[in-house]
Amino acid sequence: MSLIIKQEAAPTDIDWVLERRLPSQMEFKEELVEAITACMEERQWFCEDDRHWLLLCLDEAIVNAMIHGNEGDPRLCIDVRVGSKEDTKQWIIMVSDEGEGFSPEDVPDANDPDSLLLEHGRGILLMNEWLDELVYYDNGSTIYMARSYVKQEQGS
Amino acid sequence: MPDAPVLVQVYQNIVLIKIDKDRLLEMPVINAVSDAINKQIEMHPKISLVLDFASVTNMSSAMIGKFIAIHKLVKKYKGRMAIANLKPPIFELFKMTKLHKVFDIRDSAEEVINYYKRKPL
Repeated sequence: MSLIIKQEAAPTDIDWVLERRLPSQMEFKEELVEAITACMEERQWFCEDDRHWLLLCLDEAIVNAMIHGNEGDPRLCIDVRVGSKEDTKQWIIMVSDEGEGFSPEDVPDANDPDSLLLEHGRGILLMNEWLDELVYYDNGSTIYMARSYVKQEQGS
Repeated sequence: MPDAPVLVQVYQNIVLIKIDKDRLLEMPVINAVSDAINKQIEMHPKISLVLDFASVTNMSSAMIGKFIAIHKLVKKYKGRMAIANLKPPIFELFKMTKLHKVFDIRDSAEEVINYYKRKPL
């Protein structure tokens, strides 16, 4: 499983269409996910067959930021941004928390047979399956998710 | 915690639990489903458990983790379990995480219930 964690700040050359900042409280998650999917649906950035993948990625990224990054502290916020890059024809979702980040050693290797029956640690593996790019910036406190919106236009 | 979105039918030690929810993403829902299943396992030692996923369209890794814990609990109580009626995207999640090799995955709940009736523990 490829897990890329960079010390540097996340890219800024993105045309943002939605930006939200909210406290690390799970009750806000559903409304946030609905706002993001509605915004992306309006732009035809994903097809119906992929909705379950998008929901999975959003859920994993937001829960990780709130529960692991911000350690569930409601005084700490997460920042969520949705946008696109014209040059790569990708939509981008970034979720940032106020934590210190993490290192690859903190995440079990979901492909290791010894990890098969662990009860956690599969979120990144699953997100990686669908996304074109999954990179952590700011030492792990920002997740950058990208996927081509052309695929959806082509129906592939 | 919300009421667990599950429907339970018991035939002796065969327990069929239908998950009556499409999205298993919210932690209160995940915990409620998991607690309801665990309760049945503890009530029926040597359980033959059938989980019907016909309604499930979305599932997070947290819910997958709970199903692994459920699988371990069933084994602890010398029981057995099967998962039935998986929609293709949900089966895909089990396959990607290689858990299709761990869980007994069947096409239909009826099929596995009939098997459990023919081969009681």
